[in-house]
Amino acid sequence: MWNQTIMKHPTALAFFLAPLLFAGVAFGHGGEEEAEAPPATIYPMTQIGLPEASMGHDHGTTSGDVVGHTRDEVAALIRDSQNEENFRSTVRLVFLSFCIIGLLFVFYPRRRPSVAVTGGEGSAQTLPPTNAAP
Amino acid sequence: MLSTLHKLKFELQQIGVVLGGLILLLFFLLIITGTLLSFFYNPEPTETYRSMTAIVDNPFTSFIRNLHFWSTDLFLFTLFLHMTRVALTKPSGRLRRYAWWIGVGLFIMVSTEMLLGTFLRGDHESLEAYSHFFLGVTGVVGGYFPFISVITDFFSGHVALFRFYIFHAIVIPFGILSLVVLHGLFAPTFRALLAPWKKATDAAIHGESAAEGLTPRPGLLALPSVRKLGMLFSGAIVAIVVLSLTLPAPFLTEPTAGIELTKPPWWLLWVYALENVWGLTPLAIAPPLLFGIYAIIPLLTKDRQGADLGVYLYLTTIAVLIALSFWAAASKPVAHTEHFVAEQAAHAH
Repeated sequence: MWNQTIMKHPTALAFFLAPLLFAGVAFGHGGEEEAEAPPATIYPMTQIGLPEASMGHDHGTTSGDVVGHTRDEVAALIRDSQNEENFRSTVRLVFLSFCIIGLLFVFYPRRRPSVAVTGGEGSAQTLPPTNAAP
Repeated sequence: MLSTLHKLKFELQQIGVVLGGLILLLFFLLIITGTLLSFFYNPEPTETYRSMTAIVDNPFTSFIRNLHFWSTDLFLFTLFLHMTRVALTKPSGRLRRYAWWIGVGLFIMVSTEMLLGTFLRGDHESLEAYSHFFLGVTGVVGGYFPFISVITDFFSGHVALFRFYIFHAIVIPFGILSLVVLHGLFAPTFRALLAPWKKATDAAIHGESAAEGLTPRPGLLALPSVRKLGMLFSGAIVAIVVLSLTLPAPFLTEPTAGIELTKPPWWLLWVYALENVWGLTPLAIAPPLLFGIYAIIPLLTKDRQGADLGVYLYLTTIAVLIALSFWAAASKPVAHTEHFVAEQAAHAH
C-alpha cells in the first residue's frame, strides 16, 4: 500500500524529499565557524533603544562612557548556547518536514475516477468535488 | 492491516481538522504564562536584563518562562501544520477563502508578536535582533518610503522597549483574539462545532419547549472533534511540560552593541539565508512577498477534485522556506548589520 501511495503522489513527495536531501548535504559540509571580524569600528547606528547596551570595543580601543565586552569575549560567552540553538532549530525543521509529509499522505487532494451510470441514462456522471475537511 | 491503516488515516484526518482549535488553546496558555511572567519582568531598559536574570535564576519563574517559550514553539509549529492542512483541503468557495485571508492576517500578527517577544528578552540576541530589524527598515525601506521614519522613531530610544512590551502584551493579543473570532465564523470546522448550539438558540428564539429546544444535542463533550481536541491538547501540555523541565529557554549574555554574532530563531532562518546572499534587503522584501503568496493561493484554487495551482504553489513555497532554513542553520554566522553599516559609511565617504 505504501508503494502504491508513493507511486500516486510522486510530485508531492518530491517537494519534500528535496529539502531533506539538501539538509543532509548541508550538514555533510560540517558545522560552525566564527563570523569574520569586521573592521575595528563602532557602529553608532546599531546602538539604539537599550541604554544598558554597553559599547563593544576591539583591541583595547573604547568609545562611549561604558566599556563592554570585546567581540571575542561575546563570541565565547554565547558559543555553547548558539550551537545548542542551531541543533534544536535543525531538529525542529526535520520534525516539521516529516509532519508535513505525513499531512501530504493524509490530506493530499486526489482526483477520483468518474462513475458511469448504467440503465436508461447513457451519460457518465462525475462525483461531486469533495474535500477531506467538513 | 489495510483496514488498520485506513482507520489510522481516518483518525489522522480527524486530528488534522482540529489543529486550529489546538492553536487557540495554546494561545490561551501563552496568555496565562505571559501574564504570570509580566509580574516579574521590568521593561525599563536599564533594569530589563536584571529582571530577566532574576526570572531565570528563580526555579518557579524559570519554569513559567520555559512553558511560555515552548508553548510559543509548539504554537508556531502547529500553525504551519494547520496552514498546510487547509491548503491541501483547498480553501475554495467564498467562506473558506475569507477564512484563509483572515488567517493570513492572523499569521502576520503572530509573526509580529513573536518578533516583539524576541526583542523583549533584553539579552545580546535581543539587541542584535532589534538592531537588525531597525536597520533593515530604516536603511532599506526608508530609502524608498521616508515616512517609515514615523514608525521607527516611535519604536526607538529609551521608551522603545516599553512600547514593544505594550504591543506584545496587550495590543497584538487583542487583535489576534478579535481576528480569531472572525476566522472561526468563516471556518467550516468551527461552524460545524457550533451547529448544535445554533439549533438550541434558534429553538429558544422560536419559543420551543425547554425540554426539546434549549439543550443542544449532542452535548459539546460528546462531539468527536472536541474529544480529539481534548486529547491533542492534553498531549501538547505533557510535551510542553517535559520540554520545559528538560530544555531551558535560551538566555544569552548582557547586550553589547555593535557586534552581530547570533542567528535568528528557527522560524526566521529562511530570511537569514536570503540575507547571506543579498544583505539586509530581503528583510524588507521577503516577508511581505511571502504574505502576498499566501494571499493569492485561494485565487488559484478551484472547487473541484484533485490538486491545482494553489496547492502546488503552497507546497513549493513551504518547501523553499524549509530548504532555506536548513541552509541557514548549517551556514556560519554572518554580521549582516555590520556589513550594511560599513557599506553605508563607505558610500557616505
